[in-house]
Amino acid sequence: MSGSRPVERKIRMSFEVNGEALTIVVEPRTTLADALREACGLAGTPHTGGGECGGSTTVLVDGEPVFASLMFAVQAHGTSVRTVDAPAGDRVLDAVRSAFKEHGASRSDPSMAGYVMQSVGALERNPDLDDEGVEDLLAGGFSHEGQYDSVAAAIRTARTLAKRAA
Amino acid sequence: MRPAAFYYHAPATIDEALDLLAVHGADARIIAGGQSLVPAMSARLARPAHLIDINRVAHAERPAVAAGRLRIPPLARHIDFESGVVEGPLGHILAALHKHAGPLPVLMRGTFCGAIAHADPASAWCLAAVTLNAEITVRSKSRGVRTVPAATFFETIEVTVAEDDEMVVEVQIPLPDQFVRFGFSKVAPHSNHYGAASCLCVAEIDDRRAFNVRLGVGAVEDVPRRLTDVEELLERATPGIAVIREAAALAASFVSPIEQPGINARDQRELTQTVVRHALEEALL
Repeated sequence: MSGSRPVERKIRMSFEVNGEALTIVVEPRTTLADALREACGLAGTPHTGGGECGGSTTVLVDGEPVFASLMFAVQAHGTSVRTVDAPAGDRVLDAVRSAFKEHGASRSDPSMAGYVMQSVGALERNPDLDDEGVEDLLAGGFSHEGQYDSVAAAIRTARTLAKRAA
Repeated sequence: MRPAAFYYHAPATIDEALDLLAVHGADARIIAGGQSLVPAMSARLARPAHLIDINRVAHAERPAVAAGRLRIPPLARHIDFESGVVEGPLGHILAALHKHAGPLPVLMRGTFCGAIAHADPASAWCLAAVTLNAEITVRSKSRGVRTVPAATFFETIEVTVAEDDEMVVEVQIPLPDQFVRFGFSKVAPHSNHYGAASCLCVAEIDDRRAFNVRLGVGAVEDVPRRLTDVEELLERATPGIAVIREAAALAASFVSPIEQPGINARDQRELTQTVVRHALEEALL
């Protein structure tokens, strides 16, 4: 590695966030998660996911569930991003939200925002997500079983609600 | 935790990416999915002064079959292998392995070639590359193209034979015989985490004889490796419980476990024996 560190040039980027067109100026090293919180004022997506992979920072970029903490904001230039802060009126997200509420999936747990968005992403990719798919989605995420069960049940309910609303 | 500052480059072609690598070499890193690189940068385990983002490179996403080989370009994501990227057994094998790369958001973003370049000894893609006799094509501006067998591509943990100015531009996997059978087994905290031991076995069975047996073990040693002595043992005997047990014990005695947190070498040998036995049962019985 050479001695001198780069003097960062800020980069102007445009994207759509929860349906609103935004242009922001970021350092290249700003993660998408930080940009959403700091430049866009959307506090629902945590800075980092904790653990090894950032599960709680999941957002949808052009419909694909990705960890916002593992992507730089500049990489989202030109995309459409949806976050847990999206207003009501988003069919699958609405279904997931009401199912998580109905099953008492804990809202005080910061990782829950990530599971909400991962569920939305998974159900949009595959509206018929089977129980094995639900298990894959939740593999490795929970320290106690009660929470796993309520989130798994919530995703199955969301699957039904989303189909009904289609 | 924010990574250290860097210059950001978004080349539109592989040639442009190689130009940048030629200039910046050891100070630069290619980013494709970034699912290993970004956490490493946040933790300051990697501090590239130049980040070369290849996500805007066109026509680098779709794996294709040509001349009996599956050719995997640099932007093929893990999720692209979800439902059979190619007809026949290779598609089934890669579909079975893809979910071991991580949880859904990692599958959406991480790339096959990126996993190969990163060379995590526990990566299922690295194990598949070695077991399935893949070849890795790397390119640099000054020295052009060279193709390296997977068996010699991985040097040690997160180190490959690729030089600082070289980029993995393609991985090629020969299509196996249409009747090939396979088994995969992994011991890990969770299905979508990297494991403490993993095994992939492919074989053909004809007239109660196993042949063209290939058995690879990952995560235990510093690089995934085929155990050819075990393959030979399996080809000499009629497939059955007895020879599978013998082969698993032999595999466990051959490996040289690397240090891993919370697990000693003896346990790793036991885990090796377990995953080899399970993979062989799936492939051969």
